[in-house]
Amino acid sequence: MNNVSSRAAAGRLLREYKTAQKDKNEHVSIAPVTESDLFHWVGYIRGAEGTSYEGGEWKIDINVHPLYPLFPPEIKFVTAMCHPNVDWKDGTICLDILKGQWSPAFTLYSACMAIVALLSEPEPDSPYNVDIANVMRLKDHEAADSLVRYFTYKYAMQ
Amino acid sequence: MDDVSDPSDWTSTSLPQLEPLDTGLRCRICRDWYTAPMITECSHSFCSLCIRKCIAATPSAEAPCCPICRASVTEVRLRRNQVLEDLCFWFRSSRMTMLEFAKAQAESSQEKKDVSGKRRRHHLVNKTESSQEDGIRRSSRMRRSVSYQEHLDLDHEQPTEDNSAANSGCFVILDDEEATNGLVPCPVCNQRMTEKQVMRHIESCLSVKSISSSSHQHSLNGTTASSTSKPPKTLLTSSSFSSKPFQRLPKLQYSLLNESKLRNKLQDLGIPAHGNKQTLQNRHTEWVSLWNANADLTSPKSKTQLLRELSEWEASLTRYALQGKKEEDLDAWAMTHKSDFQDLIAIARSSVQKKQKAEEKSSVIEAEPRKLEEVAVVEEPDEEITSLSNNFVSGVSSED
Repeated sequence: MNNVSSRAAAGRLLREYKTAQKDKNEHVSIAPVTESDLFHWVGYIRGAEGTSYEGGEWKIDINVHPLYPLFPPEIKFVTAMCHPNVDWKDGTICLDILKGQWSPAFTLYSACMAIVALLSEPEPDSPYNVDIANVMRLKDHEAADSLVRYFTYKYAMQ
Repeated sequence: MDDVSDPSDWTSTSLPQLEPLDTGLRCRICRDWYTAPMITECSHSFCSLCIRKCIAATPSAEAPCCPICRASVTEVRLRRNQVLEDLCFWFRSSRMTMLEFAKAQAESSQEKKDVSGKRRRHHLVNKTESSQEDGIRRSSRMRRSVSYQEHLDLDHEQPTEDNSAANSGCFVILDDEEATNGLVPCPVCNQRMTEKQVMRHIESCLSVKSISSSSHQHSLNGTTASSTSKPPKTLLTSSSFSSKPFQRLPKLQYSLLNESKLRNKLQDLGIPAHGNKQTLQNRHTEWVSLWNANADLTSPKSKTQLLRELSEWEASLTRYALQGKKEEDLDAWAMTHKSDFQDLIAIARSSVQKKQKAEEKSSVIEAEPRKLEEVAVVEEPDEEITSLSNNFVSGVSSED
């Protein structure tokens, strides 16, 4: 472990890594970038079936605070994501549990699952991506759906 | 990595039912075994240090809340959860044995499955005979968990192949248990006792075995009576609070103290007293958490150890702060020199335009070689701009 200082955090992250290796989920897969540095993870999020994000796979970047789990991890989308609560340019996610509502009982994995849930339940009233949020606020579901599907097809499908 | 124990260790064994128990004996904050567990007002338990740090990390504007249910918690109302600590101790002490046991069991049953997969069909006739024979035992076994059923069936198919395997002993024990009024034998010394007692007994049984493996059967008979009736010394001392040398530290109202007073307080406590007020405040908060959690420990650590932990904590924070600063600095540098950058680009562009104009003029005079010139014009300005910006970039990196 290169970071002796945050031993408690490293111990917990090591357990999370062990669990993540065994718990495979169709929506989320996460792993540290290198085994020597457990404070930087990379993951993939797959859109749930039946949603506009179906079939897409987005890369996410997870930066862990040295005092994790007292402070939330920083999670960002690397792949372009069209969602009212995700910044189009830098992929920042507006999710309460990644900010003030974080609890040390959450894990990196559960935080990612919360992001998956956010995909199917957007909050257009506190938007990062104003354009798609406005379409949603106008209740033009068809337009919103096709926009999301288009960007999913363009950026998140290999 | 393998030396870190985890509830998921049980999943691939023959006892996956133990996974929730394993999870339940770990703190939800650090995911490690409970160390001096404290129970909150909302009846959730956490390691003393974990919950204290968690409360200390809550912004002062918000009320600290339970990480699990978000009910409000206060540090002074935390109480020790002695039962949980003891349970944790007992489970940990027998965990390795149980895990190895369950792993071996899973492996052997896997092997059996591989073999019996082919044999099963041939044994169908024999099986009906044997099941009639064991009619009574079989029906009573139905009450047991379903996952055992398969192993039991396998045991019956090949009773002769089980002789070598100590791992199948588990199911033999189950059979015997019914015959002897709910008493089960210890897997190590075979002495009979209730199921509850066995868990506690195994630990002492194994420790004795490791000391004198040759005479273990004899010595165990003497020790079991005492070990089942009372816990080992380590746990007995844990309940005697009076002998603790550590007095809990009170929290400070930082807003009422100025920097020099706070510095004096830190010096009095014997911890580093450099830095500005915010640093002092953070350090003091961390120290109080470390100290008070240490006071909850069964065998508290020395102050030197705590000071080391404090400096580790501080080092990790400064490293993190520095990392952030470097990136910020670069961004800030780029922002402040943005105008310079744009000026340079503008100069480059204008010089390109001048050249183009000059060449257009010359092309009016000499219409013939224009085409050749055009090619050169397209290439030249690009080079100029890139070389200029390259100089600029190299200037940035060298200054940085």
